[in-house]
Amino acid sequence: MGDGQLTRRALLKGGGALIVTFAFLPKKLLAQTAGLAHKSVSPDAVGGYIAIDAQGMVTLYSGKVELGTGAVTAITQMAAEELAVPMDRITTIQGDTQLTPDQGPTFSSLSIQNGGMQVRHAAATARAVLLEKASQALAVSKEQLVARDGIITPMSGGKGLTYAQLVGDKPFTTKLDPDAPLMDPKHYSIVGTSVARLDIPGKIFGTFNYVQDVKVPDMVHARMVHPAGLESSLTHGTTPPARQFPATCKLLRKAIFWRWWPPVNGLQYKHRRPLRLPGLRGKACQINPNCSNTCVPPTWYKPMCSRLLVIAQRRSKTAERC
Amino acid sequence: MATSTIKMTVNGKAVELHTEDPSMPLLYALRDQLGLHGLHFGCGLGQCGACTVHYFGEPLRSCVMPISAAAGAEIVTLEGLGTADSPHPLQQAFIDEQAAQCGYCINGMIMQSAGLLAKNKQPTETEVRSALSANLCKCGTHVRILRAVMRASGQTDASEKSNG
Repeated sequence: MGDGQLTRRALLKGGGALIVTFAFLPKKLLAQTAGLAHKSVSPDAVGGYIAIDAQGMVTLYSGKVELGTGAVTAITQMAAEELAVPMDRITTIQGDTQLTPDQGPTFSSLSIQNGGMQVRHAAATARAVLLEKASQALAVSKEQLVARDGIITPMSGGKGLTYAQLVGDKPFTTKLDPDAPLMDPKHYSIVGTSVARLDIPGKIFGTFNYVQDVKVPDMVHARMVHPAGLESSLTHGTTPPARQFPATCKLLRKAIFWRWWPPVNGLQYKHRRPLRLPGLRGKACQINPNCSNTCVPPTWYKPMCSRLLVIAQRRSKTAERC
Repeated sequence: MATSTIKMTVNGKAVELHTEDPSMPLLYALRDQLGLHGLHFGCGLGQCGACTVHYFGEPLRSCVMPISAAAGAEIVTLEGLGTADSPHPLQQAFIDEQAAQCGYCINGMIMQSAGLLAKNKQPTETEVRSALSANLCKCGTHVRILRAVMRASGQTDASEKSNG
C-alpha cells in the first residue's frame, strides 16, 4: 500500500493524470499539488481537507462522495462560503482514500450534516489561520481585517494580501478547530443559493468516472458466488466445473455479504449467469422455500449469513488491455 | 483462442478492436479498449438502455450486440455526440434542466432521445415518453429528462424554471 501511495502521489504531482478520475473539474489541477507528497488525510487536520496553491486555487478533499444527490456540490458551497472564495476557484476531490480524510461512508443524510460540518469547520479554521498570518504581515489586528474573494484586506481600506501570498503551496499544519469562528449566516452569499451541480456536465459528456471506471495497477476483477440459502456452508469441494471456471481465475473464500457485479471487463460477460458450485449447500431459502435459485440474502440477515465465495480473476491479457 | 481484429468507425475515427471471442458484446470493447466511459454496463440484457450507442445512426443496446456483428459499422457514443466545448442540443438541455441524479442511465436517455429527434424534430411529450419507455432510471429523474428533451426540440420556454 505504501508503495502504491507513493506511486500515486508521484503521478499526481507529475501530471495529475490519475487524479482526473476523482476530480470534478480537471482543468483546475494546480492546487492539488500543494504539499501532496506529505498530504495529511487526518479528519482532525485542516490539511486533510484543504490546500491552497501558489495561484490561490483551492483544493477541497472530501471523504463524502457524489452519489447523485448533489452532496459534493453542497459541500463545496459550504467550503467556499467559510473560506470566502468563489466556488469556481475550488476543485473538489472526493473519495480517494489516499488523499481524502475518512469521513465515514456516504449514506443516509449524513453527508451534509456530518461531512459538511467537518469541512465547514476545517474551512473556518483555515480562514482563521489566514487572518492570523495577514494580521502579522500587515500589522493590523485580526478584528480589523476582512476576507473576501480570496483576499484579506483591512476594513479601513488599503493594501491586502491574497491567500496565495499568505500560504501558497504550503500545506496547512493546523489542527481542525471546531470552535473556529464561523461566517455569520446573515452574510451568506453562496450557501443557500441554487447553483448548478458540479457533477452533471461530466455525466452528460461521458467524462464522469464512476467506481466501475476506476483502474489501479494490478487490479483484479471478482465476482461472488452465493449459496442457495442462509446459514450455508461449503460442504465439500472448492472447484467449480472447468467449463465455468477458466484456468486464469483464482478462487477465494471470504465472508462477504454484498454482491457487486464485476466491473466491465472483457472476460466477465461469459460468467454473468449464476455460477453453481458443487459442494455448496445451504438451508432452504427462508424467503421462499421453493426457490432453488442463487440469491442474495438480505443484508439485515447479516449475522446469519454464512460463507460466500469470491472468484478473483487474475490479470489476463484482456485485463491488461483495460 | 486466436485473437481476431474487427474494424469499425467509432465517433468518426477508424478503429481496430481485438477479441478472442467474436460473441463478446460491443460494449466491452468500447469501454475497455477505447476507454469510452460514457456508455455503461447496466443490466447486461438489453433491458435498461445504459449501454446505448448509435449504430448507423440508430440507437442500439451495445451490451447485447456481438462485436463481430459490428464489423464495418459506424458507431457513435455519447462522447461523439458532443463535447463540453461543442455540446449537442440534448446535452446542453440536460445540463440546463439539471436532468441527472446518479447519471448512470443518462447516456441511454440522451442517445435514445437523439435517435428520436433525428427523425422527429418536434415530438410530442407522448412520443418522447414512448421513445424512452424502455430506458430505466432508478433515481426517478424522468420528469426532468422529459423536460430536457422537449427543451432540446425547442418546445419549451427556455426561461421557464423547473420545479421538479
